[in-house]
Amino acid sequence: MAVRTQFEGNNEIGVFSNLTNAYCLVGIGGSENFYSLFESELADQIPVVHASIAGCRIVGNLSVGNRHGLLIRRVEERLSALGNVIVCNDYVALVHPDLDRETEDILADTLKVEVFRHTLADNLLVGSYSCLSNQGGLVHPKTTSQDLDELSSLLQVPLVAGTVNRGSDVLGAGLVVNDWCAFAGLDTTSTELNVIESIFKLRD
Amino acid sequence: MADNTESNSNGQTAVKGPGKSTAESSKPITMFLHQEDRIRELFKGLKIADCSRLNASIEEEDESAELDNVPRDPLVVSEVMTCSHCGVGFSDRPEQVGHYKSDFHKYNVKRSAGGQTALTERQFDRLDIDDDVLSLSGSDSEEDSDEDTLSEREEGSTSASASEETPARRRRRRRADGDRELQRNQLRRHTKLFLVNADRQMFCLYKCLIMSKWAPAGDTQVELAVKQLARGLRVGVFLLSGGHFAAAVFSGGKAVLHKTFHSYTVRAKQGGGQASRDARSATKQPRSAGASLRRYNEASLVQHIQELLASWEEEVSRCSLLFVRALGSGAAALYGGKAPPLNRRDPRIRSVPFPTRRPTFAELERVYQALTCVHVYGTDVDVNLSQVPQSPPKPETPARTPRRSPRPERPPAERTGPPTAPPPGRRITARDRRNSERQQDLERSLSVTDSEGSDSEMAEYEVRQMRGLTDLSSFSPEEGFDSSRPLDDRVVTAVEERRRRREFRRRLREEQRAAEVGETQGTTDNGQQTAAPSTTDAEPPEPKEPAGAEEFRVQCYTLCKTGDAAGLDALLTEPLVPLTALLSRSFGQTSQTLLHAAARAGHSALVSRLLEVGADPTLRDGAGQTPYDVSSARETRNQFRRYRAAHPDKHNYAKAHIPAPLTEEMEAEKKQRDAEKKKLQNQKRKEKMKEKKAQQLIEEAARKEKEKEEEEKRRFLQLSDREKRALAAERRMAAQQSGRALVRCCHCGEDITGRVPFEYSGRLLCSTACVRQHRAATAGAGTAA
Repeated sequence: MAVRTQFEGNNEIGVFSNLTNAYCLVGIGGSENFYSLFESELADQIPVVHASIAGCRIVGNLSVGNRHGLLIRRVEERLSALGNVIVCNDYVALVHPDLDRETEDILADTLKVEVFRHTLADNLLVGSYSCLSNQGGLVHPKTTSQDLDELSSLLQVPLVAGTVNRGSDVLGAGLVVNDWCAFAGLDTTSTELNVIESIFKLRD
Repeated sequence: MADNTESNSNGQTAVKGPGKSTAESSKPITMFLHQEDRIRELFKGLKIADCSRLNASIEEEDESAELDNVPRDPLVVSEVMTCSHCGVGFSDRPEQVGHYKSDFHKYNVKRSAGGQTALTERQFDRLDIDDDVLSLSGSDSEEDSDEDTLSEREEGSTSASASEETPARRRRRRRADGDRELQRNQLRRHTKLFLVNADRQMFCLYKCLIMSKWAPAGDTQVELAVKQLARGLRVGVFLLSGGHFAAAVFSGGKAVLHKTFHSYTVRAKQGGGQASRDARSATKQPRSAGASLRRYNEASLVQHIQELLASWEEEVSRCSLLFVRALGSGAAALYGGKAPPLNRRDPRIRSVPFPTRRPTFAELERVYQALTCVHVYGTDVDVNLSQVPQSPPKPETPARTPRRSPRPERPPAERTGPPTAPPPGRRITARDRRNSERQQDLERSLSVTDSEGSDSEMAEYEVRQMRGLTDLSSFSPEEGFDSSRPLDDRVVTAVEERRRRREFRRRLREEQRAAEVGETQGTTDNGQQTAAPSTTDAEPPEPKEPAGAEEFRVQCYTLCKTGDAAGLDALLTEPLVPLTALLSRSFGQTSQTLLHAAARAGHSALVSRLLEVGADPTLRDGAGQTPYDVSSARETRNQFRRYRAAHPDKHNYAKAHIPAPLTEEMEAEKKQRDAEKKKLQNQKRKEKMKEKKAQQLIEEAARKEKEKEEEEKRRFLQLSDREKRALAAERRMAAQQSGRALVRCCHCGEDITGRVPFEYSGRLLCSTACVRQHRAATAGAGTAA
């Protein structure tokens, strides 16, 4: 089930929310529309929590998590927008090549994932340019098919290159997904939504 | 341009044995492709050298294109066990995961993120031994983003202590990185391809032997193609220019077939072929006998060429490469006509990648040799541009260089030397000379300012410190911070200094002229003026000076600035240097005299003292201002005027900008005037105050009256109707006695004495509005009741 939504007129909903299989974080917004959509879709299964990090509503950018935990970094540090530099599901994580080893260790311990350093179509911000669940993953549209194959075999999930929000390659910002539900920006076309539903196996 | 090595090495083709290669790596050894045994030996296990490795993207794109043809099912987890970043394959999952977590992979990912090509495992291992790569997963990308260890070792500076990186070193390294990147790009675009064989011998050959522009090739294809070259090469060379044609087919180092001929087609003196002249205009074509002869010759040349090549067809078809140099209309002879001898899109056709001379058989041979030679640089060399012949950089202003016969080029072997001294052939331009002059000038003036400006400033600072002067307000900022002035500032100062000196000289000239005029007119203008500038000129060194003279001067200057009149007096009683010279000398970067300094600092006593001892108030400082102009306080300025009054003829006061003299009577008069003025002002002020007070009293009274009335009103309203009426009656009665107003509105309580009231059920009201309101109120009360 993939749903289109907006956060106060902004299609980059992945910036303002963090969805995992065990919980969902939603940035504190001016209106409750965004929150209530998540709640209506998810409240039966997982808690939906209003949150802010360091006074910022961009919880999706600043945090990374899965069903095992949640990781946040002090804003003053380098590469603190973990949502942009890490993408993970419950088993594997792809991280920015420059991320320090300490964070990598913490990531592996907290989220219980295998950590791989890689780039996506020459982009270092793997968290921004991809979206991953246990069922599948959507990556930057310029990823070569060889890279797709290699990554797919590495991460052990099917991958496809695609876009959200009418051609935006910033997948991490335009899309949040867990194993049974996905939320995409309001601009996402039905073709894009089709791809999302098929790769993340969201069709009932 | 790039070929000049060949023209050089052509002469000395004495081929050295490969054993010498390591010993003498600076000069490449030349081999030829037709020396098949040696070439085969050389080509064993060859690989493209890192420096001229092609962009791997070509290969990748090819592969991905192939893969795209096979539709991949996105919904299945793929089983491709490779890493294209590092070019590695795996047999099982643990190996794959192990690779992706290895430093090798991480390092390559970082490299590719930095736009560099990936290393092979072997290269990485070598690097690993050399360098501590374990730190590479840290977030400090600066430290390990660059690796070229070989060249880095050569630089030597970076290996010193990599642990602490100062900003300067980082900058230097970054610049070095930029240079290296530039160099790499240039090498990649170089006409030659650099290769390494299994013995790690670096060698190069022309790229055009392997690649054509029609079929861009990936690294592996190129390597294969190079190996093909070792198996014998049959080459056709065709040169055509200026009516000269030369063609040959070479095989095994010898010309199998060759033919050259020439016909008269180039216009004498004007130059250029007849066809190109004719093409310049559609209608106006020369009709001279020569022109038609040349036209005819051109046509016959084309015919000859085509006939010749037709007869060679079999030989040409067996060639694996055809090198063609035919420009402009000449190209039509080879590619045009009914049955073109050569096909323009033939993949074997290449252009000659270097300039050629007049097509002759000798030239054909030279071209062939140059094309087929292989330069062997030696084992484990890192080829950099200094070893590779390259075209000289473009001149800065090519548009302005006059058209003239090209300068004789220095041979590239020399050109590659370190660029320490300008080459002898180079003419020193006027601009260069000007630059160097400026540089020297700057340096000279720098040293001057250092010696006099900042020294005195420092001394003054020290004196202040010594005397415990805490009054910083008298410190002008430029004085206060001079001691810590950065170098840039000094450069500015130096320029200023130069300007000042120019100004000074100009002034000197002016004054001399003025003095001369003065003398001829017979005025009483003092002679000091003419004397003063001649002594002020700091340029010629003074003949002999007692020791400590400079110190003495600086001390005087300092005292003038700090305002120590007593100290200065003490110094001036026994001056070490002539007093006139001292007084007219300029100090510091503003080049001010002692008088300037004292006036600027506002020490009036000192000013008068200096003037007494003969300081010249007409001298100007660096900004062209006289001491009077720079004086900061009125008292100081008055001091100047007083001096003028006392010595009306001593100086040219107009020049010194000192206005009307100030005598004692004037001062007394002014004092009196000021006193009167003040008195008047005081009087005025008092009057004003009085008026204001009266006004205030009136206002106060009015306010009290009003308050009283308000109070009355309020009290009346609080009364009941009956009481109001009673009060009205009372008032009326009282009015009859006193004549005061008595009647008030029943509703709002306003005084309506003397007005015709509105009457309503026995109540008197002031207006219809009050009536209405009263009625409404009573009616409301009535209904409520």
